[in-house]
Amino acid sequence: MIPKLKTMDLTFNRTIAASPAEVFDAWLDPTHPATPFNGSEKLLLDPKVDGMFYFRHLMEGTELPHFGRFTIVDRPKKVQYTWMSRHTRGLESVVTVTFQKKGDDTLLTLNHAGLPDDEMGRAHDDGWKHYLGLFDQRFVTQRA
Amino acid sequence: MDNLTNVLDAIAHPSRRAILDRLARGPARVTEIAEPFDMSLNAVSKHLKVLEGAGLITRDVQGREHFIEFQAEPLRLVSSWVHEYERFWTQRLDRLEAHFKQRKRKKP
Repeated sequence: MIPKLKTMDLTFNRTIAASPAEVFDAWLDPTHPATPFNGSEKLLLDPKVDGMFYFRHLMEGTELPHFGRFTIVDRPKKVQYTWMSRHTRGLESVVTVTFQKKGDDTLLTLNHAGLPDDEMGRAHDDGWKHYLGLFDQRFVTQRA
Repeated sequence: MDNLTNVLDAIAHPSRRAILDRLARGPARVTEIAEPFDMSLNAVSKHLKVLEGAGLITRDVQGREHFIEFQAEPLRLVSSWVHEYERFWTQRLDRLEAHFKQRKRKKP
């Protein structure tokens, strides 16, 4: 049996000066300069449930392939896709983006769940490693 | 200041990191913490206040004795901040936010 990796989630909130539909469409339009899918060397994108995406872009100085499968495409409220790359260490992490109307603006919430919570995933800078090791020990004990 | 900034400030100082290393081994009195350092009790107290402000230590008062205890939880903020995807999404979302802000400004 493959041992279960400890995982973590990241959540971001942003207020975007546009309607939910505009932000939603921009998010999934690879020609839009502001989408995370823009700027890839190679891109395949089929934003429908069970459609797949693949892109390669520069991360930490190396070309890194990313791929996943769309699980929710509910315009203009929500989009969800699985997400795999070298940085997920083989785990199928899940990205969920919701777009809520907030006056004239949109509250965008991005949750990236199921990311590996290991030292390699968190710390490139040696300076942090000692600290994160210390943190790991204590945090794991407290949670246990 | 947000909590992450408080935690980063707190662990930026080598003496405070040394204090946390000591406390990671177990709770200690202020005098015990100060012992290996070449600084006054007053200076140690100041460092402890900064660590306390960041939530990295708590004080347990037992009679006249104050025991200082290490709290690891706030370091989680640092650990998520240094995750690749923390930086990746922050950059991408900054770009998205800036794009629409700029567009709105251009509109009459």
